[in-house]
Amino acid sequence: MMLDVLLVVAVVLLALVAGAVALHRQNQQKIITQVARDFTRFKTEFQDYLGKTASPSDHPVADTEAPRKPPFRSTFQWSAPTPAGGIYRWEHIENSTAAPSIRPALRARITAFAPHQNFTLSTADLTEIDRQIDDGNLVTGAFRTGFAGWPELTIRARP
Amino acid sequence: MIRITISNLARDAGSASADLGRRSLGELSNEGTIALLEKFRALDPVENLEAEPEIVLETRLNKFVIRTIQQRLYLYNPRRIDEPALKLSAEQIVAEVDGTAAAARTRAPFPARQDSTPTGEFGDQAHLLPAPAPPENLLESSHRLALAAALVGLSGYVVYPALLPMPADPAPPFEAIHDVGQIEKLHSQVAGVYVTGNNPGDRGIALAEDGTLKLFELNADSSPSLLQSTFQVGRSAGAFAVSGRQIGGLILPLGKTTLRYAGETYRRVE
Repeated sequence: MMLDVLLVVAVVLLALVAGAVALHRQNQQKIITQVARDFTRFKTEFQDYLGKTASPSDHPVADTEAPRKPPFRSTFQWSAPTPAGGIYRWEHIENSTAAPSIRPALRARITAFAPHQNFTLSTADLTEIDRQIDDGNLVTGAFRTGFAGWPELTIRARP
Repeated sequence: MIRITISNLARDAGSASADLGRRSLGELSNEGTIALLEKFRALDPVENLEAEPEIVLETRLNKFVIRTIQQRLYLYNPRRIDEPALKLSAEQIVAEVDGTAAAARTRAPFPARQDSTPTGEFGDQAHLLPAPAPPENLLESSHRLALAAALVGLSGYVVYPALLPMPADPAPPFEAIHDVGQIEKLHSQVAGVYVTGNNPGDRGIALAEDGTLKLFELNADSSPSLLQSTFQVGRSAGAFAVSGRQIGGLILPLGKTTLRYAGETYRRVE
């Protein structure tokens, strides 16, 4: 009889734990999906901009270097925290560091300095994002872990 | 000795009337009580029906009410009115009252059930079966099997991520140096401030001889954003390397004035 009681109690407790785990996984999956979507959206915006204003042989997009073209403007809320903590940043990449390609390039990334330092994505989570938007490997391709282990996506003009 | 109180009953229990009321007979021996109960049992059914007589038997520990229906004696526990009456003989009643019956068994007589529905006021068709023994198992084997399967399934669901292979660590293997003298020498060699540039958005690494590490990013309108950690010196793929806690990769010194970290080159400014 005691064994039966223990069995029922164990199943109930484990069901509660599994429920909490499922909820956490669901939330984490939502964050992963949202971050992947944000990076994809940013990539599309930038490539659309380049498609209208630049040719592959143009200079990198920068106000000082390409004064005749309108600067890149994103519809992103860049100052808002990302779903995973930290904030999104973007920057132009100089041709020398964007080698071997000379196409204009830009890097979108997440930084998690104070007061947005609670970055919640693990290596497994970042790999999942990489799988959704790139090659699934954090040391190759356009999506990688960069400064302080935070993710960054290098975006180039469409060939 | 048993203390006797009668209600609507003559002193000898030979007749009953609603006018007689409640009276105490004092204390009687077990034999005297048995004799009284036998007389009570033989009471005229019509008088019994009209007067509803009863006998209360009390000892220091027990108190029972005795009623008779159709020449049978029924024992009630007034402290447990929700329990059914026991149909007992006079001797059995006295044994219940003085406690000898309770001592002779391991289970009390009251946790019992009737095997038929009483038809009269006191259930003249009733006779009692011993209370069923508590079940050995609460669950049937099929239910137990289902619960065990649920237990295994839930456990698997909770722990399976831990069983999956971890994604490959982006950083190459790092072997720390433990020789204190060598560590101090390497710390003093590598200590300094390194930056990718001096424009907003450029990043930097500050390594101190005490083993603290700061990663920073230059801002346009405010002081640099800062992340503080510690570092270790060691070797990776045969080359001198610096590893820091939560910096996501190795810092590779390239000569005395240059570092390579996260795909970028940092040049020494201090």
